[in-house]
Amino acid sequence: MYSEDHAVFVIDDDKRVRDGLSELLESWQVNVATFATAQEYLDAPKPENPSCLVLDVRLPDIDGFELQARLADEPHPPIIFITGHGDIPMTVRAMKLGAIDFLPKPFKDHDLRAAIELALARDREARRDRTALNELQSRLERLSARERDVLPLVVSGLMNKQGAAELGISEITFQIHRGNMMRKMHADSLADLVRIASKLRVPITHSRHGN
Amino acid sequence: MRGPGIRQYAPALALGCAGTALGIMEQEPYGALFLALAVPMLVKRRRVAVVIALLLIVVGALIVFLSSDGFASVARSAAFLLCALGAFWLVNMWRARAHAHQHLHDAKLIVESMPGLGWATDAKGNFVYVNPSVVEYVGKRTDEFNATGRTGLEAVHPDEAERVTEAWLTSMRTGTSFESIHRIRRSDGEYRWFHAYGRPHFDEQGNILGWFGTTIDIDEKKRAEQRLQDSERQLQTLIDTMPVMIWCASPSGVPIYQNPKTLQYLGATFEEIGSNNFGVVHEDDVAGFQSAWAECVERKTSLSLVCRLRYKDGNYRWNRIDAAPLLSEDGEIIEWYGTNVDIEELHQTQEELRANAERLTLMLDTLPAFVWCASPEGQPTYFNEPLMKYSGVTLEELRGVNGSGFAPMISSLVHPADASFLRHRFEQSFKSGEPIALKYRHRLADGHYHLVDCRARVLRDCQSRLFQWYGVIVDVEEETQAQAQLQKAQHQLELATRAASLSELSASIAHELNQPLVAVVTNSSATESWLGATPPNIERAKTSARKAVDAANDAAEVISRIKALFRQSGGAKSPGNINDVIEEACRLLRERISGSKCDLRTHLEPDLPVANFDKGLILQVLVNLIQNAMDAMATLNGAIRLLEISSRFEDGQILVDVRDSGIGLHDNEKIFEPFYTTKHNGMGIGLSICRSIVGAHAGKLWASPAEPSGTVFSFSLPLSGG
Repeated sequence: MYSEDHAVFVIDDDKRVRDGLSELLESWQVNVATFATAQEYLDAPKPENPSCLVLDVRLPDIDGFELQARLADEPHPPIIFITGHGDIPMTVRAMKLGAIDFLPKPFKDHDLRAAIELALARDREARRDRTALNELQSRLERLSARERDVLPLVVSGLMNKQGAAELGISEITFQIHRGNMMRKMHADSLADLVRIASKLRVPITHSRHGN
Repeated sequence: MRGPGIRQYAPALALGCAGTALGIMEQEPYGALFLALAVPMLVKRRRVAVVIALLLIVVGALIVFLSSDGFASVARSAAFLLCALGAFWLVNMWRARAHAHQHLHDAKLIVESMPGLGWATDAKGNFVYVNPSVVEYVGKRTDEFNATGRTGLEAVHPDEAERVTEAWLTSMRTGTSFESIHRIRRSDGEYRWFHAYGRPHFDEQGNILGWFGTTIDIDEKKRAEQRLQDSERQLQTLIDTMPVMIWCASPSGVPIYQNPKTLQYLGATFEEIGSNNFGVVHEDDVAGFQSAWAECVERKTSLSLVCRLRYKDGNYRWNRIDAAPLLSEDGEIIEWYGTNVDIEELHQTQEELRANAERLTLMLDTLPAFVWCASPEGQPTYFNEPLMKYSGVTLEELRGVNGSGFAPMISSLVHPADASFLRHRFEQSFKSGEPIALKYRHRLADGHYHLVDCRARVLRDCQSRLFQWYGVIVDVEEETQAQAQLQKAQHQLELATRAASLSELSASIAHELNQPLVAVVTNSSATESWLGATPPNIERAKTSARKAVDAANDAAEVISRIKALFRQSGGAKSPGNINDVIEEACRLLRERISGSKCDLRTHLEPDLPVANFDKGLILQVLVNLIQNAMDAMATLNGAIRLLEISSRFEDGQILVDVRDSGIGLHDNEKIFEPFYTTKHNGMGIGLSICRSIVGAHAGKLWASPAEPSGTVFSFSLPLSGG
């Protein structure tokens, strides 16, 4: 079931729990790595594969929520919390911060399995999105300064004449820049360009009827 | 001048009268001759005497002439006339001489009986005469004076000799009067003061013939003057040096004199003060000063007031000013005499005293307590303002006649039910002087009764007799009510604590059980997976199955420990000695302690008081703390593993310390939170439960760092906690 490369990280301070989870995940052909503390996890090298984190809430050094908060600012594996004494407020808090699931101990094996599958799928998708966005970003970076000026005007729906007037250049020159820009951004149509621009969060600065 | 008395003349007159009688018988005119000579002697007025004498002589000559005849009668009467005139002339001349002699005698008498030293000199200044007083006083005669060549000057006091000589020489040269006041040595060597006065007398050509002079003893007067001067000087010195400010002013108040001390004090000159009389008075005191002064001027009475005067450093200091007018005979003010006394320190002290007294009164009246005083017999002597307001009575109302105020005070201020007990208690103390401390219901102004705490002590005089009772009354009504509420709240809290312990206990048990259960479940599922795989992985399935069994055993052990925890606790507290429990815990853990290579030391205070506690629960706490201590030192390599247990009694509670020499804790509080553990397979019951158990005994459990390393877990059990 897990043909491609992946990894599941288990962080729990109780060795019996770590061993049990490790045993179970291995029996599912899942690649598993266990850590007794959050710090051990942070210090360990992580492969660039889809992965997820099975995290105990109560840990001796950095507790589960604190680790979640620390990871929040960067791309990180989706988190599945496990706890022996969870309550509703804790659950709500964890889910709000983007946890995949919050499993009270002892949990059923299929619940864990479902959570891990969901988490890995989520991470896989996220990684894909990140790659696509990176590609678009690098395309944007390849634009010349003028082409970067032209992009928002075109995306805003301005006609060539309006765009040229806005930049103080001739309509012909504007059209050349626009053509180069479309080509460099790999946009087949204006609609395609608008979609790319929205992914790149290029602002719509002008209106055809305004100003 | 009076002649000698008639009696002195009697023999002479008798002879003359006899001769006259015989002459008449012989018709000879001897009687006329006798009478002619006698009359001038007897008749005062010279001219009348001469006329009478000459008439008698002429009558005598006529008688001779008539009694004789012829030429013989002329010759005889002429002879008589000539002889009689000659005799009369001689008698007259003798009489004039006697007269002059008498004058001289009288003058000498005057000069010599003069109450002074009389003297006369010639033109060169040599004494020609000194009266006996001079000789008597100086002890020298005229010739002795003259022998020195310096007339009388050598008897003059050396200090004045030069001045007197100068004056004398000047007078001699110019012919003016000589006058000098100087001392002259008496024969016994003492000097006395004299006033010498000399005047020249001149001949017709105006040349000085000589000098007459008197020297009068003025020693007494001079000495009196001297004494007066001395006493004046003394008085001046006294006024100038006295450390008191003295001044004198005209009736209108203009300064006439201010002693140096005054000027120095005010730091001003006399002129400055004179120009602005009230300038040195503090502006706030000027009006009062002026009106007081005006009143005193009008009534001619003494002035006495206190005001601030500007000291030389510019600050104002309090002074007491006293002044009295000197009145003339007709009652008018001649001058004012006054003194200023700096009373700044006194004033400050008085101010302080007054402030203190005010503060004391204020304090007594604002204290949130009621203060009273009473005589040894219980007669109330003082109630502070709040007490009077609180009770709605005044001290006057309570005071009975002849010190009988105690009974009415009790009956009007104390609840009837408490009155007899209170009276009894007070009367006891009045006899013994024992301090009073009791609670009773006090009647308030509104008629309600409040529970008050009354305390009083007696002050004894130097003979240790009871002198005065001082007491305070504190309203404890609210406090009592609050205390009752607090007790209720405490009871509720206890119930809540028990409930909290139960929930903590269950959460802790759940946690301890969940961990092995997770292991059981995961390992069992893994076993199933390994067996369900194609081909089945038997080896891995076996491993997983064994791990599941181990985890299940762990869970079973948790349950057995929990059972052990409650097995011994009957939930009832009974009196016991904590040392016994510590020893039991050590006995229970002896094997584990020796196995952990810990060095166990116990310091148990003997004769600890007996406390009420649940032995089973406290034993569990101790076992848990000892196990924790051993676990804390389990990772020490080579370092001394010291496990110390001590007990002691302090501040009404029993204290037990369990000390380890491990690496210590990061956080001394967090470890008490439920489910917090620093151990990987930590079991026992959580420290939170230990804390709950100790808390249920009204004690405390806490951790603190030990010296030089490690941690001390301490718990206290108050004796009253049972």
